[in-house]
Amino acid sequence: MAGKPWQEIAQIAQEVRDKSIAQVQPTVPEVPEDLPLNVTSIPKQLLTPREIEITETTPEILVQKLASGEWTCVEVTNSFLRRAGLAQKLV
Amino acid sequence: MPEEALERAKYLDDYLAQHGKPIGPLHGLPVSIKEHLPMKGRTINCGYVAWWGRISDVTYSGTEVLYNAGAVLYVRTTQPQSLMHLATSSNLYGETVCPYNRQLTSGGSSGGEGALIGMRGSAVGIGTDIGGSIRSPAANCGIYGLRPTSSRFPYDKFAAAHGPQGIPAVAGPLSTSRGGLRLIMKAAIDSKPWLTEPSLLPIPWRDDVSHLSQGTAGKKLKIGILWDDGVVKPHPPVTRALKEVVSKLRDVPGVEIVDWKPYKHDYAWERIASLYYADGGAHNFEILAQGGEPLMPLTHFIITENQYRKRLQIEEIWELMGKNAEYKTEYANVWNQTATGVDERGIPTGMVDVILSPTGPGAAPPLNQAKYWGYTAQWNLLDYPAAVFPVTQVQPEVDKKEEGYEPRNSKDDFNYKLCKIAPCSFADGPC
Repeated sequence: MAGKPWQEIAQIAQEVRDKSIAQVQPTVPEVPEDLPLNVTSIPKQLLTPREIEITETTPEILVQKLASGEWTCVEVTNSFLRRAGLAQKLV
Repeated sequence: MPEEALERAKYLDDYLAQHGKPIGPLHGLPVSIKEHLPMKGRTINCGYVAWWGRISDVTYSGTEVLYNAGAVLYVRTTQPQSLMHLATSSNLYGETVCPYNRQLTSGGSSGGEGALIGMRGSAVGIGTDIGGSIRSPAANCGIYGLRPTSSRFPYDKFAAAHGPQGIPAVAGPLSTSRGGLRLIMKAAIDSKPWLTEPSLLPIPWRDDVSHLSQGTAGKKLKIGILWDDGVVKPHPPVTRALKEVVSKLRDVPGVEIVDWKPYKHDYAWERIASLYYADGGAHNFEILAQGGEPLMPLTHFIITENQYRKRLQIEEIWELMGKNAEYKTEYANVWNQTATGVDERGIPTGMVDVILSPTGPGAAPPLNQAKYWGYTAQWNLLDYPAAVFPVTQVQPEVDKKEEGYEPRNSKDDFNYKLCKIAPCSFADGPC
């Protein structure tokens, strides 16, 4: 990386990040060009109700549902991956 | 880190099916981690261009502890250039903003955590704090955060530039709930981390708070309200938030409310700022130069423009640390003076149990304007545990700037002028 202008390194850094988000399935939705000031209600419009339910559950309830097997770790992890990927595009 | 995370999640599902019980108290819980807490085999840049591409050969001890408790590591979050902003902007990734108002900062330096959890892309994560870096993003993004007392939460194998001397940095949780903070603290401390990290104190996690009502029967929980630190007056929405909490607390039996008089908080800032860059900032400047990257405004603010920054001789360090110790004792005496009596051994009783205070001099500031650290760094200097919780949001029709206010000093003036920006500009900001 020696000698590369910082703008180039920044671009590489962002590409690495975006590529990691692109691995998430289903594909993280694109967000509108024109974003409102307050973007907290956008995930509800773009993610599934199930993903919203999971990601809006508090940690202490999440661990209960995971420990009992009511929710699978894979589903919970994927829901957060999806919402995190979306959050990256918004903030 | 989708691939790794899903692989681990699948493993945990299989484990539960096979053993009929969870692997640990955090079985399957996705936990986000601030980037400057290293992960073996992954980059460790701390917000610096020159450090991008450095691969860590260790994992931060807290991450190991949480992983062993069953957490799923799935995302690493961003931080500002130099790690020393109450905001999160870097030449690597640009600006991280407040989910409720994108003209405002997410806070920092754990602003990636703040914004992600604020957006519910995470329910709980780990940040770090040496001046406000867990609490500023927690407050700005409307979530919960805890700066634990030093020597409690795993700390080993941090990564950061050299600079601070004698100021404890800590790691700690941010979360969408108070229960999330407790879950992480308890899981970490229950794992007896002091066995492998001997600087941590071997004190069990205490859920039982009956000690708060020991002594005189019917002793109330005494809360001291810090309305204003006497240096920078908080903006109206913050004062309103405090009033709303106080009004609810007055209805709670077993709670007593008093005012907390701040003691030399401006002097406290001089104390802590004098020891943030014991090498005069040399290491930071070196890394910045190596990366050929411009200094961001808030890097200038905390390093270049820091009037207390100086390359220190060892005698000066000793003197400054002595002054800090003195101030801590003075503050403890201030606290003891809130006592209403003494017990049979002459030990003060009836003191304030906890201080309720603003986390910042306003809601999330606009980008590059987060310049007052006093409401958070105060407690780093004193090494008090400090938790943040959301109360309300800025309502421009209600939270009018105070007309005709005469600022006390230049910092207060700067903060007051921020309030003068068009009322809608702080709209929705959590406070």
